[in-house]
Amino acid sequence: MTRLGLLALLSHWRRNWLQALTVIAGLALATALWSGVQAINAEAKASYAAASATLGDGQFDMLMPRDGDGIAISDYIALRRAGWQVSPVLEAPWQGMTLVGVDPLTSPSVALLMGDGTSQGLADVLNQAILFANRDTARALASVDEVIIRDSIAPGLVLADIAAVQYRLGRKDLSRLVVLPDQPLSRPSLEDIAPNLQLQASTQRADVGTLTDSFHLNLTAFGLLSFAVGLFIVHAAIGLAFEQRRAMVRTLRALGMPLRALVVLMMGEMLLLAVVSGALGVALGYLIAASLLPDVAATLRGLYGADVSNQLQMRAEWWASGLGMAVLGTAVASGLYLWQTAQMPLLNAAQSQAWGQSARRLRLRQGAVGIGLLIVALALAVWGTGLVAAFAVLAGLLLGGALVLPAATDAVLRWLSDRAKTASGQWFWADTRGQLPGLSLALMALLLALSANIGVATMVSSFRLTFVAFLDQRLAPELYLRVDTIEKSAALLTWTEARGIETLPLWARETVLAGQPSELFGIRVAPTYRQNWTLLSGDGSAWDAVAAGQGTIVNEQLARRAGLSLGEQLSVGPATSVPIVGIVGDYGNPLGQAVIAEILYADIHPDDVALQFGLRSNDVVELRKSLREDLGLSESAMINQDALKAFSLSVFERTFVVTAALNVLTLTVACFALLMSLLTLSDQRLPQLAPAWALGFTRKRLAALELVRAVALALVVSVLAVPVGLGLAWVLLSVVNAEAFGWRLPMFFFPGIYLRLVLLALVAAAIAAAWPAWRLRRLPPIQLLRVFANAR
Amino acid sequence: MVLELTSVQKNYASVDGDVQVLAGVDLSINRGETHALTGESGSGKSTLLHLAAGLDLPDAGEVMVAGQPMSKLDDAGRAGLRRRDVAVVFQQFNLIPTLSVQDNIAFQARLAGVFEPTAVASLSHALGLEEHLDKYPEQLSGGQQQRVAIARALAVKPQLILADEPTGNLDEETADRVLDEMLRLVSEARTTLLLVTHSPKVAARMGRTWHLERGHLS
Amino acid sequence: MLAKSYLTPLALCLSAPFAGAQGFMGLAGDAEGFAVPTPNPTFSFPQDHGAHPDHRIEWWYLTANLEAADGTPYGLQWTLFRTAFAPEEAEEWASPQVWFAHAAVTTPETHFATERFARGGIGQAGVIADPFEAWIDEWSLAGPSFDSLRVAAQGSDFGFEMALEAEGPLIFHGEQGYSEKSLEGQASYYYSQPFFRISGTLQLPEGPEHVTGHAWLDREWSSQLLSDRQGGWDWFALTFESGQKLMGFQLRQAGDDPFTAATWIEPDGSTEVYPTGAFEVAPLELSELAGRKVPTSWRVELPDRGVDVRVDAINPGSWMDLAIPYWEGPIRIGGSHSGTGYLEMTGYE
Repeated sequence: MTRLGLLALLSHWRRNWLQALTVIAGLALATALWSGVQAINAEAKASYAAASATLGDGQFDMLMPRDGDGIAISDYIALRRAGWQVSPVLEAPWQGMTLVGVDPLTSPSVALLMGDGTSQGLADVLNQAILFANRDTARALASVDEVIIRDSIAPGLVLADIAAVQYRLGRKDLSRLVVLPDQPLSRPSLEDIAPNLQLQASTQRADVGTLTDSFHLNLTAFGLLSFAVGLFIVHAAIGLAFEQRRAMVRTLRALGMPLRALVVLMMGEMLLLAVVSGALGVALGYLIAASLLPDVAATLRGLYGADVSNQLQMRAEWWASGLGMAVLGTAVASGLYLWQTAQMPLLNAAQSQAWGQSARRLRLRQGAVGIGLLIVALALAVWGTGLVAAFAVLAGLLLGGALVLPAATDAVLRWLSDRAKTASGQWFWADTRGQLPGLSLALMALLLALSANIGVATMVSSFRLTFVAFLDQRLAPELYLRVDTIEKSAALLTWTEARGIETLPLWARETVLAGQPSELFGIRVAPTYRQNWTLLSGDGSAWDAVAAGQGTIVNEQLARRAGLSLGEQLSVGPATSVPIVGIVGDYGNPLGQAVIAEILYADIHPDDVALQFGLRSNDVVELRKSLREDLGLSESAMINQDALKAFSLSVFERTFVVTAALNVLTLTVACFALLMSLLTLSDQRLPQLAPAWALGFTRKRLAALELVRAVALALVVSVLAVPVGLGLAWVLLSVVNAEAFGWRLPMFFFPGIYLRLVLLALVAAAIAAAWPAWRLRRLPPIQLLRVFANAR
Repeated sequence: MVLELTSVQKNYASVDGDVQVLAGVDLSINRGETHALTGESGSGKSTLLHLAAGLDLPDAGEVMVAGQPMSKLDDAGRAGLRRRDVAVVFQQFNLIPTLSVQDNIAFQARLAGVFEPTAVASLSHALGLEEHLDKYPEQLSGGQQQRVAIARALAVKPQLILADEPTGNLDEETADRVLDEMLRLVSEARTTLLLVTHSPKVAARMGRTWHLERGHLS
Repeated sequence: MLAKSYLTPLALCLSAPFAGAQGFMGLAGDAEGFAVPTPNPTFSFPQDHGAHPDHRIEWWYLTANLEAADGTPYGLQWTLFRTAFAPEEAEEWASPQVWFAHAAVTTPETHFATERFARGGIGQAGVIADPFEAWIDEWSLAGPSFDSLRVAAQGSDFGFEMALEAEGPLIFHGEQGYSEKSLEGQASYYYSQPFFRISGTLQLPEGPEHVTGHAWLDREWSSQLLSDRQGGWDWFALTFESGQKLMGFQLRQAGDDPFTAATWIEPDGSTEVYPTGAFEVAPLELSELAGRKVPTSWRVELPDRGVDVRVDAINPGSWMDLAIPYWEGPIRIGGSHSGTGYLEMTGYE
């Protein structure tokens, strides 16, 4: 009985292979996007970590020389012998790249970064003739040395064993020491061991960590969104299949198949579909991830667990997560239908006549629920707090938008129908309205896919613009300097003044502002600030007010956390308050910041000296040389922010490329789903078309009208999708991000992208309608006649 | 006794309140007998047939099929009865659209575990379906589909065949031939037949004719 | 977590220089270019307490059985390893000498272990023979002479500082310190100072603990310690209540009986050495540790001396979860003799 029942159930898919393809493809693609995004996230995070570990940037505290040209090995040994777990780094410009010498024996991550997990790979690490770099850097190297390619090494960096670097550079000293996270129970203070070194806490440096976290959160949201879109498609396709099989289910029961056995069989059928599609999806997801990420081999190794034992667990996890999502998704998509099947009475004669009536009621009820959801989402967006509320807003917006769609479309069609001049026009619009119940699920799927794409395109592009602008703003000066004595500070200012170099001295101190842990900066207002700093609020006069010591510009984190707004007084020191004249976007920094003029700063902290400087120059190399020769500044005291910026951008660029590719992919999924839905639905259209044909419409005319109808419906959906998509982007950038990280990412609009997406949807609708329309045009009249013959 | 209805009542809800379709029907049919059931449209003929097949339950009274009271059986029990002992030829044929004609004919027999390829082949031949075995129901005319439904019921060799207007879609000549064939096979297998029809001519060929009017049999 | 992730490749790294590295830690690797131990050695002290860079592998291996005032037993380990890429020393970072060290404290409930790595040539780690000093980072084993030492080490969650006084002479294993490891000819130079009295303070998460006990220091160096067929060893250092001691080990060989060796040590320092086969051990109970089954109770027999004892790990979880993972911990002895000792087991995959 099981075999026979399954045979009958599955025969439906065999005869409706397009439907089967839709379900499997929809589910597989949903799973693929989900697991692909997960894999990309994991890979990208790993490579950021590796890159940041290479540089020691952000992640670890560092020991830097206070003075002089570097750190002596004796200092390093003294620290190690006192218990300080530090690892040496020797870094210098070399062949247009940065050559970094590390000690794999004491550095936590370089051994991992340079090795390939085999003993030979690690032997190479300690081999002093071998350099390590990523593919692009290696290609650009003019070196005759053997270079081993490691794609996880940050761009522009050449890694090698410290001995090799010392030999190449003819140096004996060290640039800096990375302070490792695991330190022993007790160790003497730094002053007792190496007073000539200073500890630079990881937070002092530009930390891109939180910015990337934010990006990954958004990417995860995107993955979930893609999955939801896929589920909608699957829900629609499965719903159609169940609807079409109602009669079969009754027949099977009438022929003696018990209801329970039938429901169990259908569950088995769905599980089979889910497992097949899920497996396909996970494999596909890894292919996506692998082709989008440079490290194809590593990803595939993660998938197939080939010979690398410590990745086996990871692989099982991915499979479980992907398959779990597929099964869960199928359960969600088919649960209602299974329940309906279980409840369905054995005898139910004239049900389809009542369909139109109840569809209208359903549509109205859906519309009401949809509006309710949108209102709840809005209320939560305004009054809600916390990440859960933010995600609830997201869900409410999407579901609400989808549920409102049929009623909204119906209203538009009624309006058009009322204004139709000709009888055929009236018939056309009325017939389109009549089709709405059958089409609404497919249209909802299109709406979700389109708005998800609009939302994500907006989010990613806004993110990119913001990030680039932020880097330009914060890393505008070509060279950053750090000195440690009053004398040097003064000497530097005199030196740059004499040469007319635009110099941005920075007085800085960690403090508490408006009850928030913050940094107070004293600055000399210069054109660089006016040109590069983008104020979120405040106007051109803000910098004048700051320069006059009559205002402060704070970062968004501080304003948001302390609930400060423009014009409010901020206490920046004992008995010193100034109004906030501007708020500036600040990404990738957990602390609040307030910027005041140097004169005001000097009033509050008369003993502080500017120890950090930004210098503007067209010739950084020459400037560095002069600074070294004239002022005796050490290389390690100078940070070439240009290189840092280029590095950050190129790391991010990779992630952006990945996202753009995912975007295209989701759109393809949506287009495909639309095509499948319309094709499936067009098969059922014959009974509606036959009467129109009988009344005198030619098949050619009917076919043309089918095409127009599909495009018109897609247009209505697109018009609705744009606001839903923008709402989605707003929620991601302003609500989710603000809740998770404390800053809003500014939202930019990209009408060109939206227009392109809408056009693509229209084209997809036209393509989807073209095939059935063509089939209709070629339909032998006998088949239309048979509609009447077969009428019940 | 293959089929026995005792004081069977059945009501249906309608806009004007409950309508009594069957108002205490008694009916006994013995093995090998053939009965016709006639009556106006909406007189409750199909309802009676559905009750006899266990597709529905009476509001009062008892339906016994092959000695088993329907009210004592659960869904699975009634399904089992339908699978082996009762075969229904539906007015709307109720074929499985995604299975071939051949598979449709064999389906219930397979389900009941009494499938014999030779029996199915001879049935197909007798009902003139040989050329259509690999087609799908939608490719057949209404009359052909009806014959498939009849073949499916006969292939089970059940104790009881319940047929709802089995020749309704056939022209007179074909109807005669199909009816001949049905009666021949029924008598060969000593199967019992209860057949709903509008046609006095068809009814006349049955061993006994019942008329359903105002919820009562006469 | 972070540390763990890079130490595993480092373990490979350390075994990598030995082409065709096989066996535990690559100890069965080729000896090409390195000096090879030869029979009938003559040691010269204190120089030989120092490093032998022309040999590929060398260690200073201290284990101690300790007891707190309340009778709680503890174990302690301090080991400095030297391994070389090439049989030479070079200046500063170019040195082919790599040092690493393990420190552990075992309580009946918990096993603390940590490790350090260093390159030779820059002074981060090394050994000086006279006055004796072995160090890596802030860890050290040092004193005016080899008989009077202080030992210290610490990790992020434990540490110790102890004083050691020798109460007997050095003990030479095998033929006057030439210790055979297989019938194919692999061997090492191997001597011990098993007569240390030890006392000092353990730093534990619960606070400092004053302890006393006895310690055993092994010195061993070689260039090709194991044969190709040998995958690991089980090493026993037993101190009986009678004052007698027994060092015995078995090297597990693929497709053959294990190779065993033993040294019987009288309280006065006189010894008797036993050839392979005389010393026998058999696992009694296995513990599942880090996904592998490791015997943590053994039957140990030396019939020539009437020894038939059962040894049980004081803490079966004494797994050294380091770049090179192995089992090392204090044991309790019962049966024909009783006492305490140390057990080391390697090569359990």
